Amino acid sequence: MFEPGMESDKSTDLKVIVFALGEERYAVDVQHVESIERLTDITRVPEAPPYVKGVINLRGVVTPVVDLRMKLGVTAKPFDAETRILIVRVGDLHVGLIVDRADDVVDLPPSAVVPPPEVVTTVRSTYVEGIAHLGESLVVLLNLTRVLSDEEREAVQRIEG
Amino acid sequence: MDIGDYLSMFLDESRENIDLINRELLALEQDPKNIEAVKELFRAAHTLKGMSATMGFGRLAELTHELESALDPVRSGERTLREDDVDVLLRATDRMEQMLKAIEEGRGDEGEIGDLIEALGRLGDDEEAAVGRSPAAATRHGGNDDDDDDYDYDGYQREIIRQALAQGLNVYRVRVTLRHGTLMAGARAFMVYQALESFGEILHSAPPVDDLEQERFDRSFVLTVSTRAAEADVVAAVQNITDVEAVSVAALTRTAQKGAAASASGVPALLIDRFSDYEAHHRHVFAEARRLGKRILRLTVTLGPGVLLKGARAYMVYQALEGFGEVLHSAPPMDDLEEGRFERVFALTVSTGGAPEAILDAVRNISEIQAVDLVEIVPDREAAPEAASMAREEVAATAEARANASSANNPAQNVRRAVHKMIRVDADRLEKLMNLFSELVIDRGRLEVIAQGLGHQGLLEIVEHMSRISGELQNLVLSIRMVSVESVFNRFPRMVRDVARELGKSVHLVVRGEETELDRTVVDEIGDPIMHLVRNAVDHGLESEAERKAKGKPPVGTVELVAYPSGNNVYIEVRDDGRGIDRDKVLKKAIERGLVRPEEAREMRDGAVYQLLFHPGFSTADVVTDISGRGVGLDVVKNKIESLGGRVAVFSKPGEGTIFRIQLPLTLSILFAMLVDIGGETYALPIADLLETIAVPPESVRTVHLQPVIDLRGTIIPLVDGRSFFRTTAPPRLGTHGVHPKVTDGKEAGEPTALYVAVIKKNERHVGLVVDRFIGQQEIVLKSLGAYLKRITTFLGATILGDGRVALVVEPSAFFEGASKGTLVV
Repeated sequence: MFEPGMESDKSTDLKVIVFALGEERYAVDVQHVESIERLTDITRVPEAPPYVKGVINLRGVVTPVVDLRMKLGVTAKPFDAETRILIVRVGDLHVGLIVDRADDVVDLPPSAVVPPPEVVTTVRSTYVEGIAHLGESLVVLLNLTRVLSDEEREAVQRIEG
Repeated sequence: MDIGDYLSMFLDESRENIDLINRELLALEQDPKNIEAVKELFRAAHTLKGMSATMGFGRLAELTHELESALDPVRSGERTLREDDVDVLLRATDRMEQMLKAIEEGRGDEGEIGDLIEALGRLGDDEEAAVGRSPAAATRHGGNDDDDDDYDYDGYQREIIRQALAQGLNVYRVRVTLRHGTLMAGARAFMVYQALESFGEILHSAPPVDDLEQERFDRSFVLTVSTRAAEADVVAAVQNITDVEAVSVAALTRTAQKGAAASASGVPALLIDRFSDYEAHHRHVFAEARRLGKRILRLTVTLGPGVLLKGARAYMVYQALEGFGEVLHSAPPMDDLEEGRFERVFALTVSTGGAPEAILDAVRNISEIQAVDLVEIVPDREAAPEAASMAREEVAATAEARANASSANNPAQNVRRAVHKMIRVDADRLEKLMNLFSELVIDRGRLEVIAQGLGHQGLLEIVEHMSRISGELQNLVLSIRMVSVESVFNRFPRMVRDVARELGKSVHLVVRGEETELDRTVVDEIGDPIMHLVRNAVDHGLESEAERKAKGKPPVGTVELVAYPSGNNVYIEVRDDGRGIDRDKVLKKAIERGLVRPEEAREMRDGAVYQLLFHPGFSTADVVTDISGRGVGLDVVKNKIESLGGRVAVFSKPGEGTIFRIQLPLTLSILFAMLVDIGGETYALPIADLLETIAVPPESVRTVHLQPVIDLRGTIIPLVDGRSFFRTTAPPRLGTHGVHPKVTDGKEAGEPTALYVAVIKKNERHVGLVVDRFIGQQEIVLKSLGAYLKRITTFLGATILGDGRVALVVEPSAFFEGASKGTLVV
């Protein structure tokens, strides 16, 4: 994806979608994001882990939705008019992520992203790809692959344990 | 169609042919005199060879060719196959399969074939003589003197020539003689080669191309080319090359037609005067065409009785002929023909360079044609010698070609024609069709809801009609996806034979129900698990011959592979009449491995004990054999089957045998379901596993061993509270352990209300699911929960309801799995 020094600055910019969870702002690589949906009827799946809110009908495709706030341990606020579902795809995983608000698509120059300091957010550091300075504020860049695959490991442990 | 489509078609068909070869080889081994098997074998090998050659997989073609030659003396009855021979032949088919796999993976037909070619060659040692006697060489008619060397094609080249001819191409044998003292003869030969190549494909060179380039030839050489071009054009092109002294061309045909007047090929020649419908100018046109090396063929076509679109059929014949040359005449005239203004018979006259057989084939392939007659038209008696003098020396390309041509109407060919009416469809496209159709079913559901809401009579009628049509459409779409398990079962005779030989056992394999159909995706995946179970049966199930004799059993063990449909499921059973499963041995091992506690062991039902075999790492074989020991396997089998939505069960009787029964869903995506309300949530229960729905007065619920049960006509059925099973927020309807259900009434603080119970039956076990309400039966489209939730086992998947909401589809056996966790005591 990135080949340092091969391309101009502009094209090495990371395109991300910035969204809010509680008071903090997060971002994921726009390549993984298929669409942003308004909250819709969610059907609970009894056997699923608690952060899996259930499944939705996404234009005929049954799609699991994860409450990202619960998953990341961010204080959840009640669903409101700004609540959105980010539909993401990582490998063969196709999942909706519930976020408190979806903001902008932003170009981050590689220089704006720094590795996460030890203690910067409440989020587990394995999920964090880096921290980006965006104007005045800081944005936590999430590693979606880990956020989602971790899920699976836990599910396995949960079932086997 | 792009090349990829052809490739997958080629792969599919070649696999079928290899299967067939395998099967017939085994049949032949059983009964070496089975001449039908040899013929079948030949047909399959032949097709495979031809197709691989056409697709450019020379090595595969070569190997098949060798296989075919090795079998030739068998076919001619000169020798019979020994068991060792069958081994070699089977090894060759294995190699072919590997090649196909390599081709599929984009590696081409790679793989060493030298060893097999040599082995096959040795096998057919006494075959040389047969080939030498082959009629191909003998039927050559020495008409022209410029060409006395033998036709030096090998069997493979003959096949290529035959195919080219069958495609309606001309195959010319071009003999070129260079001037005396030509310098750079090699370069000239190369120029000739290039010139001919521009017309088509060079099939053969004598001497070989290398020798040509190295000038290792004496003034003249012969190239065989397949082309659409006319003979005259080819001659002209070659003659224009410097230093070419003479060119002579012989057109090869599949049959031995000597000159225009000959009728040896079954194409009779008739004088133009015999027909009254030609006019004067036709005579000139025909003569001109013949001068250009074309033949004038008159086809008289008879349509079947009651053909509706006569004009269209006639036009199709016309078009087919246009593919081979120029249609010069039509009786009745073209206009009448197109309008269908004729009885059942019409005649078209075409000038063509194509082979008459190819033309006949093409016309016969058109629907509703009852008969086709073909004659060649010659202008007058003098024309016959003239035609013969056109260097039109005709040879039988191969003995087989002759056989084919002379038996153009034999049943085998009719069968082939019927087969051609089948269409192979890309599985992806079917998948797409299925998905689109699923969308339609969902929308139909919505429409039904809306129409009922509106109560508009007209709308209701339309919706009802639509439902009927979509029901039929659905059956059709589903049936397209169904394929018989035959393709899977075909592998086993061979495998059982190999395994049995390896283990020194005698095994009789019985295969039944191979016509049973299953969803294609399931059939594709089910092979390996069954293979494993069959191996297992031969290896562990059956005793050794000595052991069997000692027990007074027949020395030859029997393994049965049986498929049959039942309800929404298909069952596949692998049975053996061997020693059965030793319960104590299984338990001993399970206790050793810590899978079962000793005190539990005694109480375990046989079924539960046998299920331990599927535990990862479990193996009961005393001797770890090459075939199936090593403790891996049965758990993989179980996982695979479960991933297909199936189940596997084991039944066994010590000393008598074992049955592994696989249950598979008939189709994966559309099913009938009962929608139920449980605690305000909607769930779908597959009707196939639903025995009945009942309302039970609370007082008839009893408690046995802390388990609420009902007595349904003498059967004690344990109840499962839906609300607590699915952990809904609503309070449970049933009291759990020890609490009498009547307490429910107290909680609800009202009149005792009936319990609605869905009685589910799965594998002879019953459970009653207590629901709040039955919503109704409905056809639902099963959708996957996706990779993210693949660990969820309580649900088969989900479906989208008429109102757009998602409902989960319950896996009925989930209620029984609960039994082992203590939720249920039966």
